Amino acid sequence: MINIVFAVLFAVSAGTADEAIFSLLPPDGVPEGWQRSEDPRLFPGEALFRHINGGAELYLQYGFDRLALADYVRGDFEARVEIYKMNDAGAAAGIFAENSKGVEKSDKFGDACTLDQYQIIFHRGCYYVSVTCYEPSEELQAAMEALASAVDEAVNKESM
Amino acid sequence: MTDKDLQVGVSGRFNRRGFLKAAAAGAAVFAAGTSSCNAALQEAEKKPEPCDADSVVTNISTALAVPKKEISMPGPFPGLVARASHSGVTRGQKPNHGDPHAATAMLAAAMKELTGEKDPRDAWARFFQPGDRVGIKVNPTGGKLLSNTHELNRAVINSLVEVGVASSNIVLWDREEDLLHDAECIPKNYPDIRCSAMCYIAEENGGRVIKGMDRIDKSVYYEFDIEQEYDEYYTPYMIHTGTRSYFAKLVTEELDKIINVPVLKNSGPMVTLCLKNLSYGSTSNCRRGHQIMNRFIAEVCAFPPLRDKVVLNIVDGLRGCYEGGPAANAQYMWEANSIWTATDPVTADSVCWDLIAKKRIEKGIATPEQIEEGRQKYDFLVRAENLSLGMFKGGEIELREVDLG
Repeated sequence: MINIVFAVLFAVSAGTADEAIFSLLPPDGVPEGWQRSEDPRLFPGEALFRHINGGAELYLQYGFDRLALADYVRGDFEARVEIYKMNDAGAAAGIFAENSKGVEKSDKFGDACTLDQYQIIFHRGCYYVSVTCYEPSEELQAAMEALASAVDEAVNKESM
Repeated sequence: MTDKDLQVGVSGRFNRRGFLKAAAAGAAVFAAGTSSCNAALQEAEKKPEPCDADSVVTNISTALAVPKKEISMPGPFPGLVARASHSGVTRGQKPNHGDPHAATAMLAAAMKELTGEKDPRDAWARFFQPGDRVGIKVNPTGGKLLSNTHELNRAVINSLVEVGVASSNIVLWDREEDLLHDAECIPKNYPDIRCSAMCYIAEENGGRVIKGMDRIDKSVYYEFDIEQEYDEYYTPYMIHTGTRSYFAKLVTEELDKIINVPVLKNSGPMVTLCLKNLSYGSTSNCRRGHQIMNRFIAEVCAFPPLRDKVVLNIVDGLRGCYEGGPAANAQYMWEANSIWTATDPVTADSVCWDLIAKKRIEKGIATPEQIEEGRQKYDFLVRAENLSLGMFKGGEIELREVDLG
């Protein structure tokens, strides 16, 4: 009986946690004209290996909870948003530090970020966020920044 | 006990979590210096030391008992690597939108340099004949940004077709279908050939299920006495647990020859190139292999389905990464605009590791001393050489280079 109750509680709390992280993903229309190309995906726990294979070891070492991922399109342009929920702020800062070694930092998004023509990464609270595009262009840079800004705002609001 | 502890159990000769925590703690303190990182360090200090990989019993002797063939690793050109470069191949465009003509020319040039043939078709014909069933083992871990480029994949496929291999006998494959999908190695982009994975998603009873048991060969396996349980989300992707890692039926039964096409990238302080692409990409229940990683990489490649079928290695270095791999971290990627061909996977790994190491030093990611420490710690190339799979840099390695502009 205890096991059954535990299983139900776990399922309910997992569902809530999934919904919570999905709610941080920018909705259709952010930025204007962009929409999700397919349903967002979730990678909880060791399922992260399905997404980044051996790269997942580092995230699990720091303390990883789950990843929400969504792809966005506008015409031929594509971008991807990945929100990694880590177990605490130290873990998110640690992953950010690992992934930004030797790279110039900015305070434009989150507690710290790096800006690249293909990718913006930042961390805020227990979240590590990556926004990626697949070609260098001014329009895509603007789209990446709008997506990063939307996630940053949502994460910030959640932590208040 | 936490939820995590309930989900991730470990049995066997040593405690994996202790090993990971210990590894994490050092990095965490370096990276963040927070109180939680310090707590991780304190916890790690209580954990046992990782096992001595050399004391682990494996069934490598069964592989070594099978006589090698003429085409077995390291093939006809031990210690030789050919590199072809073309500064215009990526064109500064998004991945997979590079110049296909340049990619084709690079592949032809590298094959000629490797074999000494004047005509690239003669070079390909040395390895492949009509009727061969050929697998192209890619590495789709970096998604669209840092996986195999379609322009090189297509050049490889076209080269096979030109020497008479039927496109219906060509398979583009990896361990996991999800990753192939993410890297767009899917039928839409390769309509004439088959795209396949050991672990795949099937529609069953109105739902999606993860399958793979029917695609492993239970008669061919690498065994060592360490078990690892995976959490509920990941277990289906490892297909099973236990002390065995079975080879995919694709490599044991369905293919005659394999072209191994890794991507030029680091994996932490080491690299994930020819040997790692093969060993982890061809076997089930493979994540536990990280506990004896150097041995796993070298010994799995010494089993006949890989040792006797991988006749050619082509490193896709149109784009490469020197840090952040195996995932794609754009800030550490560069347009290397190169490919390498070799029949000797050990030599190819050695040469490409040198290049990545040079880049890591140049960019301030690692010192020469740290690079050397990494080489000592991740000694799978030495082990592979000891298994006669190829020549490490200690041997007489020859690098032939051709620059196409």
